[in-house]
Amino acid sequence: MTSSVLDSRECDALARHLVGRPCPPDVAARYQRAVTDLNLHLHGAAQLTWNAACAFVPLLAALDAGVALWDRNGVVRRRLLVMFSLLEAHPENADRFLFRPRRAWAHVRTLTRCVLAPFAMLVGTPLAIACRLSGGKP
Amino acid sequence: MPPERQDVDFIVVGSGMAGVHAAQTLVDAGARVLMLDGGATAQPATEPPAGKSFVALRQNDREQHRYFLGDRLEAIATPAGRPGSQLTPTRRFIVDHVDRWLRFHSDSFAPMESLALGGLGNAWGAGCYHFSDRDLEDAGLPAAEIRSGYQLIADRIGVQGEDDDTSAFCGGPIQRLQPVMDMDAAASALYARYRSRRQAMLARGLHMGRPALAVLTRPMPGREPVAFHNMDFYADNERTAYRPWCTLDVLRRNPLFEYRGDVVVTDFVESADRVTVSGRSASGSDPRALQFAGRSLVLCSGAIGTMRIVARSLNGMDRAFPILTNPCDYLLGIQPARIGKSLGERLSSFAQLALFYRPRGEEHPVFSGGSVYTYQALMLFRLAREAPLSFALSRDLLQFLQTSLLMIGMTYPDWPTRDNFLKLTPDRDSPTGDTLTAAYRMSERQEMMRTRTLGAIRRHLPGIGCWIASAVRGKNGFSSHYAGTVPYSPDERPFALAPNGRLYGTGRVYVADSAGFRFLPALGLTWTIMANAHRVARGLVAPR
Repeated sequence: MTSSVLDSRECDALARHLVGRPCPPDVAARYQRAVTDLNLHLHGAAQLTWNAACAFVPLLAALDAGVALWDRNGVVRRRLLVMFSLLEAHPENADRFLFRPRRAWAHVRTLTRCVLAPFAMLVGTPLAIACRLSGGKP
Repeated sequence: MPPERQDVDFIVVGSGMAGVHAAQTLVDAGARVLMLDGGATAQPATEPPAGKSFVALRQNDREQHRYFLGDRLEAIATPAGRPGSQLTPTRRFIVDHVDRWLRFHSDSFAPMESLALGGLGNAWGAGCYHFSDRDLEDAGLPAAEIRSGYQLIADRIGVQGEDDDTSAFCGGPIQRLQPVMDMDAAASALYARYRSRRQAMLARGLHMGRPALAVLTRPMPGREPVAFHNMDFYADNERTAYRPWCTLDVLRRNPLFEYRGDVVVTDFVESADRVTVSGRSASGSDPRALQFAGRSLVLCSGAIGTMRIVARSLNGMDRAFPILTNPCDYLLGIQPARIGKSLGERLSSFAQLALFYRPRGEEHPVFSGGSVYTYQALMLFRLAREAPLSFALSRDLLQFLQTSLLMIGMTYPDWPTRDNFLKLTPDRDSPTGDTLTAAYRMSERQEMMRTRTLGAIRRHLPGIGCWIASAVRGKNGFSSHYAGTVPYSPDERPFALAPNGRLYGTGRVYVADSAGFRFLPALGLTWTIMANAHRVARGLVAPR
């Protein structure tokens, strides 16, 4: 698999996880450039964990929760932050970040996510520790 | 090489709040003024388009990442805690060239310095706080003259405000104030609850009111009233908020005034009839050493910048200079009753409310002061990266909760102590040949005030519907309030100022910025800096 195909899948997986829709191409290009410019490269077990998470979005949710607790300044969380901010600064995602009143089903969805959060953290903890041990710092 | 200019009456160093108002007063009196300044400016390419609201840009502008994140993702890449990290990308020019020319090293103090046109005034929150006579006396400033200076500056720059419970801390008898602007719905709700429980809150030492702001609600020449575009953290398109370059634009039309940018002033030498100022090109475009001469010199480089120039010029290397700064805390509050409700349409990013705490039984000036902001024009990633939650869950929660969030910045007063100092030390790797080092720690008195203030806010704000979710201690120097490096002294002594601003040991060198203040109350000091700069300048041109 070529690097650009992997990056494209990575961007889509991250965008689906963070905002629930595919990654716009211009955001993907900015993300790939940022990974290089900010030296957010992964190695070893961290790279393997990251690739697995990007291939299977529920695992990405667990990894996101895990690094939020155990590897806050690591490369994985920095990559998530970069994609989060790039998606936020894109007009197609304004409805995912700007305030808007919600209907009942949206509250139910958020509540469900809150209930599932401890489980995600539990699953994400060993993944985050693996990343922390091998991922290095940006 | 002879100095570049020799025929001016005054050389003013720095184009910040002190520099432009000192220069304005000098030029108004008929003096010829040369202003030397680092002169860094914003890159027009990264400025957001004028006339568009924050929401409209977020919804429609495909280039918004350039000014919300920065072309090089500066908003993310700059490590938290580093000077300038609190700036939005469009304001990053404020710290351009600083790493090169203003070398600094300290583990306990992180000041923000500037070589920009307008200096730190470009990041000013526009809060106008009137020091009480007691504050002024403690700071070494003549109360009557500064009071009249407040009025003159208010007329020059345009200030909105009204009398309320905070006037006892920061109000004054100012005429011709502009009406206050609309608050957003979250701040209005908090203020309404405060007013309904006013007596109980006052009894607990908490005072709330509308801050006086240098933000127009009525037009002034060349400037428009607030348009509620809510882009105030990113741009000054309508010139609604006062910035030093508003005055500089007026000065530049006067033939008595000359502006020379791209100059970092390093030191001065005084002779019998003139002062010669040396500097270098800030951008490096001119490798030569630059020299300028005038009859008198007025230093307005900010308390830290002025200290650097004085230390180099008067053999003050390796000498400890005092430093004052307001220690600060940032509190995140939430109003549960506001969850899920809109903030309304007329939004601005400036402080919505002022908050003061004075413990019962304490006398002035022992109080803590702060500003209340609503979270409406900053990107969510700034909060999400601080939360111990996944980014996906943070987005989901913050999108809904953001209109109920409040940011409260609290500051505490500062007095000179032996523990807190700046020292310029030789450094062969620095282009100026030196590096500034510093030590700063909060005194026991300040720590006690901090503990009492945060305790009172946590206990009593829930009574008006606001719960504090977290409090983060700002790194020392993060308030951007600096003073006291070359203090006023009634007695002649080295590295101090005479009451008229003259630097002791010199005959023609004056300091008109906050370097002279001997005390900092828990208030913004910008209005006082401007009033004092006018006072010093007026003394220089007053008939003898």
